[in-house]
Amino acid sequence: MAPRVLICGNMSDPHVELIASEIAELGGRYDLLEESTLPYTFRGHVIESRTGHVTRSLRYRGRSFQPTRYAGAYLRHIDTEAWELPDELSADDCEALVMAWISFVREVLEAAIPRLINPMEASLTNFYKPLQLDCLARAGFHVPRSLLTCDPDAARRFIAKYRGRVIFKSASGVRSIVRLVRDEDLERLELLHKSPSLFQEFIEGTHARVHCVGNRVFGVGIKATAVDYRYSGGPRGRRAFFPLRIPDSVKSNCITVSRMLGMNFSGVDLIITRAKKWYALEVNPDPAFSWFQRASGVRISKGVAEYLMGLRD
Amino acid sequence: MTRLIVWDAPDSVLQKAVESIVAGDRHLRRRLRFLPQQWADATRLGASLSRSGAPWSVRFPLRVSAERDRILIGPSLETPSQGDASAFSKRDYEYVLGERMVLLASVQHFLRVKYPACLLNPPRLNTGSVMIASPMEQRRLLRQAGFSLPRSISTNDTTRLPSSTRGYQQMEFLGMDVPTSQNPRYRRHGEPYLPRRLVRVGRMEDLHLVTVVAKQVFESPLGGADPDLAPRRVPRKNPLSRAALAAAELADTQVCEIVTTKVRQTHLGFGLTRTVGAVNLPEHLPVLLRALMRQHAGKPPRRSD
Repeated sequence: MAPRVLICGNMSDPHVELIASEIAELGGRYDLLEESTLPYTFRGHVIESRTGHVTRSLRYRGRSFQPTRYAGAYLRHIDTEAWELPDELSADDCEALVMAWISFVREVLEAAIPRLINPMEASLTNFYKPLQLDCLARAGFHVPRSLLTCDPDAARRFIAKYRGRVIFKSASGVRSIVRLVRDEDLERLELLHKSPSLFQEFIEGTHARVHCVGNRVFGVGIKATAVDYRYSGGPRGRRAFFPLRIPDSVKSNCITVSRMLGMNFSGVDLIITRAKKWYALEVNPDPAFSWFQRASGVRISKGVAEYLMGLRD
Repeated sequence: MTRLIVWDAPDSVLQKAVESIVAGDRHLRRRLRFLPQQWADATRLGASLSRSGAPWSVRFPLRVSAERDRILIGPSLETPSQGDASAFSKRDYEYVLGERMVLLASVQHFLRVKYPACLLNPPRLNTGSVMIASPMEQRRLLRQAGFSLPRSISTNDTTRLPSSTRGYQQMEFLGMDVPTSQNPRYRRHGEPYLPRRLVRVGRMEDLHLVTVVAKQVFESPLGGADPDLAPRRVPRKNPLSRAALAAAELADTQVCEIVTTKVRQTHLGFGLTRTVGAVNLPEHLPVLLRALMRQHAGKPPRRSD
């Protein structure tokens, strides 16, 4: 019987669309839970007895699904912005409802499905980049010298030590544009009292994104003229993506850190220096792989589909 | 002389408990410190890392000694204070609060790396958080530690609820599993959107709290509690003691609170926090902090009162 995969997301999301079409091409089947309608279409039920026996059931649009029948599940970031919630709910109530829902959906699905991308707890370190740096170093990577602080004097000393070749960015999961510290930024350091920042020595080199899927890795190199390659396209600079062979030692480090953080699918951001040293920057638990796939031709989605279907570890 | 540092938000129940212990006693004040975490221009926190990931320095408001100090992280540190919200737009303030929380968690984490014995309840490596947000994970740890658990139902399907929900209590869906049926949010918007977790805990007066501190286990009534009933120490050979200590060890903490319901002299566990002061009644905290001090900060002198 063809392996079945459960996908939670929207077909308009290129990641969902890519994985769904790969599963179909590989002869598998998938069921799609459309995230924008979940509060009205998803009915879940989990009973845990005193002895630990768990019974799960799931109904979606009136149809019954047995969570245990799936080989794997791809739970894309749930975009709650699209949810139509009752007007009378306050902002706090909406937030509580959304959080309860995400937790609930995962409770119905998580322990029942063996290959899950990704378990909820695995996503949490994305909000704590300094902890990720520690994990990356434990996995065997070099990491940039870093300072997380709310103290302007400490930041000044750090910037002076590396003669201004220092970048700054957010330490949490909120996306920020990575920039080199400029003279005019020094005047704003007093603002650190209100909002801490992460400073790192600037590592010059070629960027690499390694997508880990189970025990496999898919490498993409990025040559860019800007410090933050995500923002260097078009008039802001040049960038080029290309398939990248990953040395065994780097592959092993990437898989180790993904396992350490409980991720079955991750995107590890790296910089390769001229001296061929690989520096690790962070690990993404819900990587936007379609961008890298489209630009480099590396077929990451096939690897994800094969993993979810149980065809490859 | 060793010192116990309790690090939590100002005006927390732990602050009041510490103040009640050290009131008028300069000797005790040196050995039990409450560190109120608030954001001001004078706040100095931070951590720096080398290329090998080792922490070069950790900036903490107090000078920490690996031999002398033991730090207890209170439950309110993970709830960002909204003190200076008016200085920012809503979106900016959410960003600022996020960065502050990361800074706090990072300081806690690197304190643990630099001074392994200092933190009684360090943040968990895989989540960066002191608390265990997932009730599923809480229940997994409790079961692995040897606790039986009461029957639980998580559902948003009203047609599947048991015909009688007598004996069940509704729990907070996120975070700590404690009864929340009094929460107006659930009463107003319970149907059909909000999932519910019901746990068969029996009567409210059957609820108990089991606390692990200083390698000892204390038990106190929780539901409809009489605050005069102080936490009672559970004998070391009691199975409850063994299971609670095992739960703390599995959760990688030296302190924890476990919510249980007592059915025919057996404690069924269903909620686990990695701190003290999250569920404990304020009246009970001095007993527990004194036990911690006896282990970590030397035996405090008897008080005349």
